[in-house]
Amino acid sequence: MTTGLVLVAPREIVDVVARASQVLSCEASLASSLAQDITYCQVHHGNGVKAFLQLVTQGPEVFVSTLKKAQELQVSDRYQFSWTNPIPFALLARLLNERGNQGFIWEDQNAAATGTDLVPGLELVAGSNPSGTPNVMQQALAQGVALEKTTWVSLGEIARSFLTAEATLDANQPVEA
Amino acid sequence: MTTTPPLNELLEQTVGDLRPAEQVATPQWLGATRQTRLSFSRSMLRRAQGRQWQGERVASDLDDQGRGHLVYRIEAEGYLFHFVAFTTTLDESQHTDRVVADAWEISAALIEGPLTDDLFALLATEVPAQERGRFDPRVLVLARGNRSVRFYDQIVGHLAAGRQPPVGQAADAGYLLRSTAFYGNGKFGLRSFLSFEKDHPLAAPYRAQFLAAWLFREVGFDTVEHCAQVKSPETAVAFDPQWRCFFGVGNATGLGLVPWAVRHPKIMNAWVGVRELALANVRSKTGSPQDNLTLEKCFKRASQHFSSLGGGDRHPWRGPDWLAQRVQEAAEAWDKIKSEPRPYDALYRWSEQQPPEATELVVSLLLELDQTPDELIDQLLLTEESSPPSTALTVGEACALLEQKYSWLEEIGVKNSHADHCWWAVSDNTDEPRRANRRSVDPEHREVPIDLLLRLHRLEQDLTVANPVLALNTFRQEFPHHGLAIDRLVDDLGPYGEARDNVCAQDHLPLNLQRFQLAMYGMDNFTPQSTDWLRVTLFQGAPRLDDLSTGLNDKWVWPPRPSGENNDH
Repeated sequence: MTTGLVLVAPREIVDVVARASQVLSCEASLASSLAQDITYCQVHHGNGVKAFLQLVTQGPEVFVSTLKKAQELQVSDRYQFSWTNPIPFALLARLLNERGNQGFIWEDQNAAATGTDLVPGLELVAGSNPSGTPNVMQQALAQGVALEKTTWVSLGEIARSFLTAEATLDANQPVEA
Repeated sequence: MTTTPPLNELLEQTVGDLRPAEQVATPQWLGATRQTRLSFSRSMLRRAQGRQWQGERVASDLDDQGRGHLVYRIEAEGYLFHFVAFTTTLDESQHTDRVVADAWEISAALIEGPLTDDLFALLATEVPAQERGRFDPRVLVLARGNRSVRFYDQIVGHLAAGRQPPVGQAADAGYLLRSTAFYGNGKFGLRSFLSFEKDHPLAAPYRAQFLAAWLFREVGFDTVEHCAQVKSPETAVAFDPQWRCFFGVGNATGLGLVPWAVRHPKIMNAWVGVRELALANVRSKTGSPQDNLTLEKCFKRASQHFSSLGGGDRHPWRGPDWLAQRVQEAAEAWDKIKSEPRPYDALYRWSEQQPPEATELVVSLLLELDQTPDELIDQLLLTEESSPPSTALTVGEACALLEQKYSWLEEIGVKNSHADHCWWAVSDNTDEPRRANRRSVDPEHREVPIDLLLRLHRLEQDLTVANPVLALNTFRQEFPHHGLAIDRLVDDLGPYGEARDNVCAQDHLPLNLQRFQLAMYGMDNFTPQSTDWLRVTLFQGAPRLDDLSTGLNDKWVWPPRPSGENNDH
């Protein structure tokens, strides 16, 4: 392993982001969806986890409301989106890919965008995702995703609050085990 | 080249011949399941045999107590694997059955590729640390366990003195080492199995873990024989042919299997589905002398196995004495019906008049007649767990879908006051899943969201009062907390994906879901220790590593207890 970097399996990012999001007041459904978004962005565009960490520094209310705003992309009868507070690309990348599969693309998307880039708005037009792109996810599954150790540790620290003390659980068995 | 239809298509085509989910996906039936020829321990060994895998122990550096390391090398279909085990001894007080512990007597890893010096050095540091260690995708599986406190030293003593193990005691053990975990598939930086090429020898579900478990068992035999040899070089003997395959690997299994089952409905569907397809195939057969003989041999072998194991019921399940009696009764019933045009179907129908544990025992015997090619089974078991499809449904259509797929929710008591008695937590002690009482411990953002059936029920309540022409996606925007339930609803899980079991209910019994999965792995000798965890054995009677060169036999289940007749004591 290169010093300063840690190889992480995609499923680990999913698990840890989902836990961290729940800790930060995100309901499990939204947390699960966000975990997919962040992982997708990290693998395909980079800086997904970093964008997540930047977002959470803004406090739980901004965090949750930003997530909900990003989810607007899922509503299939809207094509123009504009946000007063710009949305990190990390929250949009996967949803944009899905919309591309449905025949609508963001024509002005910067091919070099990473998760931390902020998007104030976008317009979807008829089109489809480019074909023949390399299977980046397959590569990530085989080789892992390189993350800065500090980033991975910071994420893990937030997620740690998801755990419940063993002593508490021992003292409150729900049934006679 | 013909293409096999996807599993769900096959299930749809055969639906009239299959047992319905209302039966086999209920806790009672899931908790009655037994190993079959489809189980992963057996399919792994058949693949090894069929594709001529080669394997050997290539390093053994152990002291007189069996402490040190062992390395095994496997060449399979052009791929190279190594299993590296680090062994030590612990004070008896440090032994534990739980997945949670600070140290283990055996810690091991299965890796793909050459074992370089730098990789060995990394493993020597990280493997004994287990989940506190960090790995890279060269490592496929991480395992650990302990020696059997009751029998390991005793058996070493017997072999050292030139005797085989004492039949009366050692045969009850069933294992030399007891494992507590086989981690894989991306945990702790391990390689994600989804990255395996389709023709990779370990691409089938759990094949990597079962190769690791098989080699873990080998560590038990090798260290016992080593310790005996060091203890008394003049008199020590190796295990004789009666004993050399008898011991399996012990395993203690806890609550982790329950969240897994809920989170992987498509895999659950595949596991139940391939078994039901195989059963339907066998039931449709006309009798043949060869199949009849196979079945009769199975009756005999299973009867001998359960009789020699002996023992009463193991609450909530039946024990070996009861099972031996049921095999006997099935054999007697078989004698009366074997001349019927479809005798295997007749035997199954006879078994359906018995309690579910007897039925599933007969299913396990009948499936010995299944001839589904292994390649097809492997293919059907590989499931895509991609995100649920986007949906253009309206609220009204979603209501109808809920009614079609989940009309049974009320029957399993989701409206009862105790339906949400428990929530699922993750313990701060090495991430172990646990249950907590919702009334005494506040989940406060720590709940593992496997309360899917309760979520579906709540979704139903909100859908029924919403505008039926509203797009479901718009509804989801308004009610984002229903996201997981909506994804579950719109996804195609197949007929068997959803166990009819509310895992948050006060009366939920985790053992049932655990047993189903363990049986699919190929485990047997189910011995519950509480409502939440149980002991099992794996690979008991299975061929050994050096049998790879002479040929493996698939008929190793239900091993007879060694007679001891050749023992020289």
